[in-house]
Amino acid sequence: MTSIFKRKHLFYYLAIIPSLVIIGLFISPLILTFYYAFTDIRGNITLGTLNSVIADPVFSASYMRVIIYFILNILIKFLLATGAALCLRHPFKGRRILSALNFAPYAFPMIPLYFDWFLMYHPSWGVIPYMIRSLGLTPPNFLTDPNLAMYFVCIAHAWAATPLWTMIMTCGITSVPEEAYESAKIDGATPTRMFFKITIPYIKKYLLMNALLSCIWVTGEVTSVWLMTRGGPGTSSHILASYAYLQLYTGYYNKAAAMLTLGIPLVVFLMFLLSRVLAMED
Amino acid sequence: MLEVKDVSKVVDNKAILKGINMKVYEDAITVILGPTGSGKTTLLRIIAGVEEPTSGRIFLDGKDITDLAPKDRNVAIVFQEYCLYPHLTAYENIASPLRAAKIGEKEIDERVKRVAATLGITDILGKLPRETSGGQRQRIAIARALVKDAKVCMLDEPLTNLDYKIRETMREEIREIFKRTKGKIIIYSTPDPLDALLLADYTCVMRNGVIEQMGKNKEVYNKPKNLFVAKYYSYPPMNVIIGQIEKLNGKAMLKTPWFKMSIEGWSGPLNKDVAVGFRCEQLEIVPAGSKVDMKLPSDKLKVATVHRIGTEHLIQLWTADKNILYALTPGDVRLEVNETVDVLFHIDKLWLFDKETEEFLGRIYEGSAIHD
Amino acid sequence: MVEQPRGIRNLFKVENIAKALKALYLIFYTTFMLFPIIWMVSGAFKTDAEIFSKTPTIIPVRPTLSNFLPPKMPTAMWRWLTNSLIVSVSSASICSLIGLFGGYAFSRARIKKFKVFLNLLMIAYIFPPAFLIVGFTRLVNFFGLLDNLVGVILVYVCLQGPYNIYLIYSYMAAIPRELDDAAEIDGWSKTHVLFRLILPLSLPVIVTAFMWTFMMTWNELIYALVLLNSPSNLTMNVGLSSLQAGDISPYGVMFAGATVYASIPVVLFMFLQKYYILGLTRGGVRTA
Repeated sequence: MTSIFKRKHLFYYLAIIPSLVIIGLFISPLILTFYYAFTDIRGNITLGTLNSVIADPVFSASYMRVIIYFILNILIKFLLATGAALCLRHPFKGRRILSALNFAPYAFPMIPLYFDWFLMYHPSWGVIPYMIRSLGLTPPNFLTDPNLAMYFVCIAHAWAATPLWTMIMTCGITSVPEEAYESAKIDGATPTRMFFKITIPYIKKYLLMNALLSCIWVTGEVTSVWLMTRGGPGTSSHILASYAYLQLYTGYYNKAAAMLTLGIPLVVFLMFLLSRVLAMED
Repeated sequence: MLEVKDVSKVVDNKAILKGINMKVYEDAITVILGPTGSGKTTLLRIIAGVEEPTSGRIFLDGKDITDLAPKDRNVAIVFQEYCLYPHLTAYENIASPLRAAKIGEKEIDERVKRVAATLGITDILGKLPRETSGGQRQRIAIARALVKDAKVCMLDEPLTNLDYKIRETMREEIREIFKRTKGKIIIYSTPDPLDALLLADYTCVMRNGVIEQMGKNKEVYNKPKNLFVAKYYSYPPMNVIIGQIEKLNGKAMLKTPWFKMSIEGWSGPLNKDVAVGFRCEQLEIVPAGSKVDMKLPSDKLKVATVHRIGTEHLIQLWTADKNILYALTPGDVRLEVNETVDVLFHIDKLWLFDKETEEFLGRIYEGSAIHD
Repeated sequence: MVEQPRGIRNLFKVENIAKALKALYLIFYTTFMLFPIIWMVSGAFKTDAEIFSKTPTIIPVRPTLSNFLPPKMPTAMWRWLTNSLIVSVSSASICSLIGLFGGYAFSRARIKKFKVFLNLLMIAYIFPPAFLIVGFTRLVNFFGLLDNLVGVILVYVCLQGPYNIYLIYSYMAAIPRELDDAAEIDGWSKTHVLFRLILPLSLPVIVTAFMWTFMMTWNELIYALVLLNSPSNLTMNVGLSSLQAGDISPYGVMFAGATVYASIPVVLFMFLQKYYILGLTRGGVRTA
């Protein structure tokens, strides 16, 4: 290779060093996590940590729950967002303002909003139970009922991400070319049929891709649970990562590492599904 | 003089350039003519120094510049896509090479304004590229190349991205601008044979990464080395019919479906299938009603298409064996598609090529073989 | 047959029913989206008595600014706000810088090996950050950077860096490499090409990448929570959650702090928009 091109390549290699460092620094915690999963508090290599975690009923319950959580999460976002996208599709007076306003939940910082939801859910002074009571009904014990807590946490979480999904659905819906609808209209199709037979197949790949990405990210969800219920009442609203986080928070980092290690196959599985979706033809 | 020695470029096991050897002289416009994919742009980029040859060297005035950075090579290039800096004004675009060389502000201003005047773009110096038209952008690109006053100035398909209406005028302007420069080596690459015909002092015909022929313009035109050069470097395209050379009574005879002629002094091979080439001016369409000169070979052929070129019409005609022949008619002659017309073959000048190898066999002028 | 007046006929037309349904849904949707926000902002102006009253109202009956002022607002809150600002701005800046260099190298170099790293970047972006928390906390501990904003910044850079690089890379890939060649032939050095050609043309994506990293770190909790300890070192999120005291947390104060906290990114974005638009109007990469 002649010298000028060697120098060019050198420049590129130099420019890429920070990126390589970052990638390396991303991988090393992963390796560390595996290390801690296979050792115990004193540093001896053992399967004991993993075993105790697997045997822990709270852990298996949390593992199950995170799957329910991300499915519910996606459903809520998808349903709400599709409705919004369909309604906001055609221009009307004030549409811009409405769209902008509706973006607020995503733009606002989440942490104080979780406290806000906690307050709104509160049986004594929460506004939601208050409104339900004023209708003459008995409000459920939102965050204090072990069977219900996780679902309401999930609702608050999904609420925050809905505006993003409205944008995703709007992009998807508007990407379908008009001609597809026109020929269907001539054939006399109703809007509902058009939606299911035309829109959905067109954006199937796009939708699945975004849905899977969302699921992958939600498997690592901690904040919503941590702030609203700390996993409670008891341990009934812990999801995979929040339970692991509890271990870390209380100093049991081996256990935390073990839990996360056991959770990685789930992530890998979802990533595998994602790769299959990406390989789908358009 | 710029010398390219044995330059090859292989990318992903595909040979883009194979053993290119050429000498380019100063005070002349050298046109590299070739279809898309023949490697013209790659060759120019290698000479400029932004692409690396897999093997081979480049010499400028005897000095090996292969290992030098582009800025040390004394070359300038106008890219096919102009490649103007979108965020800088035309003035800044043109001044760019001078600024890089850390030339003083006053001199930069002088030189930029001078070059801008030559190209007639003084009034748009303050504009951004996106605020100008295609033709103006090209002038800015040319100005940027000229302001460097480099020894080698290369233009990569300068007319390809222009509206066809502007192409004619731009070609003329380019000729004017560069004919006025002194001591420069000018290389112009194009897929359009007309550019070479009208601009070139030297023509280099390339195909598939190889130089098919290179030489003085007229030479390449009149003495094409093979059928490809003959057909490609011709505007409109050359007519080619198939014939045979046989030996008859000790003399060489050329036989074609339309005529037989004996060739005096033929030293080439006998008993061969040949491709016979003649220019489209040599195919005359006889106006309806006129008398056909019986001395010339003739035929009735059907019109395939009619194209207007400038003030004339280019007619494509079907032969019996579904071959296409080209003829020119004056603009006032109106012909219809599928009309059958009388044509005369003016076979005073013929080029003969081996039908198999497509190599040049010889030229025939009025029945005699010409030896060069 | 009596002709029904136009109005009633229209009422039952399918299009109008659809329009009505759409309007209904939008009312429901907008209410659902905005209500919690309005609740929070109004809560910032409520006294504790009102917040904990059995009959809450949207508009405070007796609005007050006491939540914004000492003694109710802890002085530490301003400290937390500053810390968050330091962390987010630093992380975003470092990430953008790394992205600038990395994006440039990835988009320009025709080196085959780089493709592998590009894929790794994508995977790093998708991978949920929570799974690395054990590894990172131990690493930070090892380097003695616990309870230190620098530790947090470094971790955030590792977490957000890959996305920055990828984002900036995809944008730069659309800037034709021939522009680089033209600059090289003009005689400019590679560094100059990066900072005076590619950077100005990439302003929109760099601003986007900066804002993205800023927002991600602005909203981040779990890492900051385990990496920071002393009250004066906390970021706003951690600080707010430290105020949490079971059922009876000082919501008014938290919401007041949150309102201030939420407005800072807005101000930042309005400031950066100038550069974003500047880059867009200049760029139009397809003009050369």
